[in-house]
Order: sequence, then structure tokens, then C-alpha cells
Amino acid sequence: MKLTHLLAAAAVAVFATHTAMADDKIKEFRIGILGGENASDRLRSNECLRARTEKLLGVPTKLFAPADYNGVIEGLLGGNLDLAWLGASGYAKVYLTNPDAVEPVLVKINTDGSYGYYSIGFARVDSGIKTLDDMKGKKFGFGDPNSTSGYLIPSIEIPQKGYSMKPGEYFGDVVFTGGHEQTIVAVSNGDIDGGVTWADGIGNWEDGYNSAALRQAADAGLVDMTNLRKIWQSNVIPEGPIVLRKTLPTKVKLQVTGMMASLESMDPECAYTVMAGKVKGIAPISHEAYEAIIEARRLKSKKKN
Amino acid sequence: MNVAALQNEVHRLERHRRLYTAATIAIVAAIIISGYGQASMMNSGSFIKGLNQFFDYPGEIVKEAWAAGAGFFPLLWKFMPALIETLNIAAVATILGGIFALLLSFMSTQGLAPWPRATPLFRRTMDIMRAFPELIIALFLIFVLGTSPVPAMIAVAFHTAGALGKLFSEVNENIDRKPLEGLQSVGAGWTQRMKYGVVPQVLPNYLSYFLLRLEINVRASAILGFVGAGGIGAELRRTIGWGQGAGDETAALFVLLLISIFVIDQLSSYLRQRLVQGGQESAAQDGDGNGMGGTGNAGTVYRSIRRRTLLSFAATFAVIAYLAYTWQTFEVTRLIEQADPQRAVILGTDAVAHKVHVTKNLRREGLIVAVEGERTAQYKEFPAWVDRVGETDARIDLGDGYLAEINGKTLRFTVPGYGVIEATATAGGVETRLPPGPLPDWLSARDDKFDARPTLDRRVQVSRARIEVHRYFLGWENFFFPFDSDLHGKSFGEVFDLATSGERVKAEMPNWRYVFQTFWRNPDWQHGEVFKALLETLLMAVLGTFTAAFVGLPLAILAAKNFAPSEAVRFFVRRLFDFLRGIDMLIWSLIFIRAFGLGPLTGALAIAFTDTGTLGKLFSEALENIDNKQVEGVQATGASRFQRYRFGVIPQILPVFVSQGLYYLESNTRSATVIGALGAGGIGLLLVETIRTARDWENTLYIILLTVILVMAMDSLSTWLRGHLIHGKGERA
Repeated sequence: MKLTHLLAAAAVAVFATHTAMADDKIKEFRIGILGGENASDRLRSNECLRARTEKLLGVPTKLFAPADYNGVIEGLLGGNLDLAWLGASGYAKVYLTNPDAVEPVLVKINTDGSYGYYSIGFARVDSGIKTLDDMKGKKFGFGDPNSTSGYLIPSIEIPQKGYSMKPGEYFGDVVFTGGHEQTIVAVSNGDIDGGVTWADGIGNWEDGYNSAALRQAADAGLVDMTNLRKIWQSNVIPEGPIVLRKTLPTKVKLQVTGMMASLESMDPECAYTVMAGKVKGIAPISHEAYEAIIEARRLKSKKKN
Repeated sequence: MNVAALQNEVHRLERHRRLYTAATIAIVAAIIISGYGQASMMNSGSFIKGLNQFFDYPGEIVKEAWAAGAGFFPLLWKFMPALIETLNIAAVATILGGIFALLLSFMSTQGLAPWPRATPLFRRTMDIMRAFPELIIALFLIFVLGTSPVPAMIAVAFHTAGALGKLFSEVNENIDRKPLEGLQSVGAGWTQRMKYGVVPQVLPNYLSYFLLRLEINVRASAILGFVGAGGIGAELRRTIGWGQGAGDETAALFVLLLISIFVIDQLSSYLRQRLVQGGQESAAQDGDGNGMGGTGNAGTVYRSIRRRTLLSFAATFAVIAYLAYTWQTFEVTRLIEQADPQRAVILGTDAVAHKVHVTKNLRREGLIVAVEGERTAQYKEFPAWVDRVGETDARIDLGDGYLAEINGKTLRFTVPGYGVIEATATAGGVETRLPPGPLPDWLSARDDKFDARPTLDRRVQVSRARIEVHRYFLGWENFFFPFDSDLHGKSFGEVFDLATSGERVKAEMPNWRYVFQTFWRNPDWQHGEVFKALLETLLMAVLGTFTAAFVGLPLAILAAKNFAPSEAVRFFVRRLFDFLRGIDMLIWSLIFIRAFGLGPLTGALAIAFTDTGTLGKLFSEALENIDNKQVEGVQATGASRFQRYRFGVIPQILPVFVSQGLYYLESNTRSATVIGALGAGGIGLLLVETIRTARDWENTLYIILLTVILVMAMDSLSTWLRGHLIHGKGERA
């Protein structure tokens, strides 16, 4: 896609969804960074983005990196953050709590042209577990409740295959470990028998794929991928959107969207660190792309009550 | 003339005093105001805007709970097991910590210690145990042992041993030594002297501190659950994380936590009161008993001794039974079986050493030598121990005769005392040729991967995609200057010369600033960011404590029996204190994140809200105990209401005000690290981050060291100030 094309499309996306009233000026710009799914050293890898934004907007720009997904989500809901890169499920939560809080503008495109990743179920090789069929009565672990691949998608797709996710029904117990990294450690320690995390699905299992949580853990020498085995894989999950606070001035939205969209062509090094790996580009996206995930999350909330 | 001189002297002193008071008040006010300004700026949200949104989040939760209707009560039941787990963590930690505290306190009290020379050593040990924030130990152990209640239990017990140990030894200092001398004179051993001479004297106070600690530990265990230790905190994290749709569950958890903290708080203060009074009464009775002893009834004495023996047996048995039960429920046996000490050793190695990766990528042919394998730290000129052969092969000298040779797709690894291993990457996996003999345990040769780590500081791996050789070096890499900076690798003297020389490296700034900036902005260590985080944590503690003290004091006047304008007001304010305290920092900070955003302001307010309750209650108790004569005296001179407070009341409670305020300042520095980890920011958050990503254990160690230094510095400062202000006052009077 040509750059001008991209910019124009992005601009349309902003205008099309522009509804809320906007004040004219902002005093500062606040970027929220999600943990886990995107980057390990988040502040460090987003510093170039901060500097660029500050130069572009001419106001002090700050990075905020809370402990879990919910920190960023609460920040957006309270109007205390202006930009964030959310997971799909995180965006769904913001939208369901307050549809007027943020609008999705852009999404990352993988090197192979796709914009998705997978939830991967895994277990220890020496446990003898090869598929979900072997997990009967065993302990299953999710990651962060706001993670798309670490909770939402597996909690829907696995029961669809006939394995109930109610603790004690099929699995002996179902727990939350708190995040992707904790799940990996818990499985390789034997605290839980199987867990789910995310992966781009490209590359080799024994390297922990090309990028994502398993790769990081393997690179750190924390787990030996050959001791682990894949036991389940989800359908492709759409990459989460970059969102802006809806009440931002239109001009600011345009400027920031344009900058983010052109990041890959203007400053590939910065795009690499911000997007946690090689990307093909960043393309415009709108709310409609996430309606399925939102519906899934809505149903999930209802079912529990 | 003498009188006139005296009068002058008094006036001079009075002027000085006023000056000092005004200066202190001005400084404190300046700290608070500028602190809030600073915190508000650092926060993602602002103070004023936050106040408007104060009820947004609690509102959402209450609405959902209300909508759940009668379905709300089963939820309370549903979370009972989680609550019990948290209570168990707290109880076991308090018991185990208490036992260690007991031993430590005897070891560190002059006159009681079996090894008097070692008392300073034990005292320092307690100080360090006390200063170590629970969060650090819990996070580390969670990482090693996995999500389980045990890490939190150990962390809380560790801190408890230090904190209770100090209080216990203060009690020990004040005992009556005569019974000890008596026992010694009849030839009693150390254990007997402690058992019959000391324990009866100190037991009521011990139990009272123990109960107080139990209450504190329940709060601490709940918070630690939030960072991965299980129990009610873990459930809270899940429901709050899910947000809409789980609001009723969140409300149920809040209610459970609130009720249990409230009940334990009330129960412990009731029991403590009875213990202290009971202790005095029984002491008085003992006195009577001794008086009658000569003529007394031996039967009664024996019966009472029998009863006491039975009671202490029963208590011991109950404690052991309880510990056995928790051993079972915490699955300690399984944990011990699965614990991998090797893992801790690897983490330890990573924390104090760094490694250099030599990587050959077999897909895209290429040989890279990089510190920690990072893209930003690749050697352009290979170090001397890597001998490049051709374009992409190498002979790597790993020292002590260990040699790794990369040749095409084959790695030849020479291990002294074992032999030569050859591992070749093939299209389908890895083929390994080992020397004959049994397979050593430091080696794993599978079809798809070869991995060997004969010593802690040498590791080689071969997979289909690449050959990788790691060599470890002691020390923190690139601590001062980043790898790609021109200051990297220079000696201290060279850097110093450069910094002081007039010839500028960068035209726009003097050299010393260039050197400092290169250090400060070092991307691997982020000294600047870490320093800012420490400052944020300190800001939270100082602001929170000061606010609590200065809001708590006027409220305390309304809550004190002898000053309250009416019983209704007193009742209301006292319930307000209970409420603020009962909700606890954990919940306050979670509520405030929505309203005020992320940052130190949120943490400061959470601390301020909780401790307004705590300090308010303490101050009101102090007010109720003041000597009324001084107030009446001032009143007799015709002083106004304000003057009565100023000269009659304030001087009396000032020592309590200052000493409690300072004490809480120190303990809140520790709390601020935990609150930060929940999302408010500061050093706690950095810590959680580096531990979770599990990559840079040396960074983790660096942050841990700085945190402990900060807390210990605050501890010393608070002790020094308390001693200085209060003793100084005492001497002048």
C-alpha cells in the first residue's frame, strides 16, 4: 500500500468515526503501553515513539506502563490516557464499558500480510499429554483475564470442541496465572498441567516460533522448548487495534494517526521496537473489525451471571 | 536586673521556638503542596478531574451488585475458600514469624542473650529482615516456586520475624530482672531462666503485638495475592480485570475483605485490651497469692499449675495441628518435590553475571557475537576468545580447556574430563555423537535439539535453525555506559580526564554533562528511569503519610471523648476511621486508578485514605489520655479555645503525633512499593516488570538493592528524627 493511500484511508477512518465533541487544545499527550503480548522492555522500546509524538504535537508526551492489561484499560476509561495499543479483548472491554471512550484507528500488518496471531495450548512432554483429550481431570491455566489469546478465545473455542471450561467438569481445575510469562513458567514447573499463551505461529516450535511469549522465554533460557509440546491451537485471532481517546481534538487525532501509519516507512527501527518485531506496515481499521470479539466477550459476561 | 535578664532569655527562647514552629509548618506545607503538584503532573490523570470521577468506578460495581439482587449472597459463599486461603497465609506467617521473632529477640537482648557478643549481629539481622519489602521476596519466590500461597507466606513471615523481633526485644529490655537473678542463683540453665523468669513477664505484651501483627498480615496477604500469591487477592485481580460483567463478584470480594479486616481488627483490639488488663490483674493476684503463700492452700496452687500446664500443652498442640493442616492445604510436600534448586542457581548466576552469545544462524548464514544476544550490543570486532574461521565459522575458547568449534552445520564441543561431542543440524533435526559411557546430567541430546551446560558459565545449543554458544562473565555488563557509546570500555581515569577536559566531544554541552547523560540514559540500565521510579515511591509515601497525619489530627479531636462536640459526631468520626482503615490500601488504590489515572498521585491518595483512619484513631486515643490539668491551667489564665488547644493540648500529644507519623512514614515507604506494583507506578512496578519478563535478572537485582537501600534509609532517618525530636524535647523540659 502506498503511503499517501494509507494516510488518506487513515484520515477517513478518523473522520468517519468522529462523533464526540473535542476541545481545541491539549496540554499533554499520554501513551499507555500494554505488557506481555507486545514487548518486554516496554518503556525502552517505546521511547522513540514518545520523542516523535512530542516533536509532532509540541506538548509534553509521557509513557505509562501499568502492571497488567487492566491498568491501561482503566486509564482509557477514565480519560487519563490518549493513545494505546490494545489487544482485541481489551478493546472489547473498553467498548462494552463505555462505547464513547476510544476509537480504533490502526492495526499492525504481519510480514506475511496477515493481521493475526494464535492462541497456543501447551503441556510438558514428560507429562504424556498430547492433546486436550489427555487433559481430563488435569489443571488448566489461563493468563490475564483481559488477554484475547490467554483467556477469551480459548475459553470460547475449547468448550466448543466439547471440553467444558467449568472447573471440575472436564479439567480438574481451571486457574488464572496472571499473564503469559507466568503461564509458561507454571507449565514448565508443573504447577499446572497445561496452559495457553500467544504465538505468531510462524517459524519452529523448538525455537518458540518467530516472536511472542514462548520465544522470549526460550531466548532467556527459562524454558527448553523441546520439553514442551503443543496440544491445541486456536483459529487466527485478529491483532488488537491502536486506539485514540475519542474526545481528543480532531487535529491531534489526524496528526497522531498519520504519524503512526507512516512509522514503518519513516523510521523502520522505531517501528520494529514499538511493534515488537518485523512488520509489513500499519493499516487503518475501524470498530466493525472487532464486533465478533466484542460479541464473544459480551456473551462471556452474560453467561456467568 | 536578674529578673529582666531572665525575662529577656525567656522571650528570646519563645521567639526562637515560634520561628522554628513557623519554619517547620512552612516546610511541611511546602512539601505537601509541591508534592501534590508534582504527583499530579506525573500522573496520567489530574487531581481536580479525578475528584469529579471519584464515584465512577465504585458506582459501576455497586450497580452490578444491586442488579445481581439475591444472587449476590451466594457469591459471598463462593469466595469463602479464597478468603480462608488468605487468612491461612496470614495466620501461618504470623505464627512462624512470631516463633523466629521470639528467638531473635532473646538473642539480641542484653542480659538474656546466650551469646552476648553476638547481640549486635542479631539486631542488624532483624533490621534487614524488617526493611525487606514483602513484595520482593514474594515475587521472587512466586517465580521460582510458581503460583501458590507458600511464597506469600514465606515473604510475610520473613518480614514479621524482623518486625515482631524488634518489638519483642523492646519488651524484653523493660522486664524486671530480679526473677532472673533468683533463678540463676539456684542454678537454672538458660532455657529454664527464659521459661520461668522471662516468659511469664512478657507473654501478655507478646500476645498483644502478635494479634496486632496478625491484623496487619491479613492485609499484606490480600495484597500479595494480587501479584500472584493466590487467595482473595488473586480472585480480586481476576474480577477487576474482567470488569463489566464481574462487578458483582468484585463487590462481593470487597465486602468479604472489608468484613474480615473489620472483624479481625475489632477482635484483636478487644483481646489486646483484655490481655494487657488481664496481665496486670493476674500480676496483682500473683502478688496476693505470694503474700498468702506462707499460709496458703497447696491444693489451689497445684491445681492452678496443672491447669496452666494443660493449657500450654493444648495451645502447643493446637498450633502444631494447625500448621499440619496448612502444610496439607498449601501442598508443601508437592512444592518441595517439584522445587528445582538448579533454577534458583541459574537465576542467581544471571543476576551477578552477564553472558556473551556467539550465534550462527543456519537459515540466513551469518555469525554474530553479542552481549546477551541483543541486537543493540553486537561486537563489530570479535573479542579475542572468538577466533573467526572463514566468514561464518569460528573456534570459540571457553577457557579451562573447554572449546567450541563451529564448522558448517556441526558443533564440536570439547569438554575436559569427558571428551568431544559432535552435534550436527540436519534437515529433520539434530544428530549428536557422544563419547561412550553414561549420559551426564548436564547434557540433553534429543532429535530436535542439543543442549549442554557442563559448568554454570558455559552453555552450547544446537537446533535445526542455529548453533549458539554462551560464555558467562562475572559482573554487570554495560552498567555505566551503553555498549555502542564511545565511552564504553574506558577506564575510570580516562572518563574522568575526558569529563574535566575543555575539548568538547559534543559541541552543544560541556563534557561532564555529556558523560553524565550517557550514563543517565543508558538504555540497558535506565538509571534515569529507575531514579525517577524511586522518587515516585518516596513521593507516594511522604505525601500519603503527611496528608494522613494532618487530616487525621483535626478529625481525631472530633473523635476523642474529652473534645468531641457531641456523642453523635464522635460516633460518626470513629466509624469513618474504621471505614477508611477497613477498606485498606489495596482496594483504595484499585478504585483510584480509574479516577486519577496511573501514577504516584493514585498511590499517595490510597495511603492517605487508609492512614487517615489509622493515625486518626491513634491520635484520638492519645487525646483521650492527656493530662487535663495543663488544659485547665491554661483555661484559668483566661485563654481562648484556640489558645487552650495550642498551649494545653498540642504540646502533650506532639510526641505521639511526631513519633507515629514518622513510624508510618517508614512503613509506608514499604507499602508504596507494593501499591506501585498494583498500578500506581514507582519502583514496585519496575520490579514486577523486570521479574515478570524474566530476562534481565541483573536489572532485577539492581532494583531490589536500590529499594532495600531506600527503605533502610527511611527507617534510619525516621528512627534518628524520632530520637532527636522526642528526646531533645525531653532533655529541654
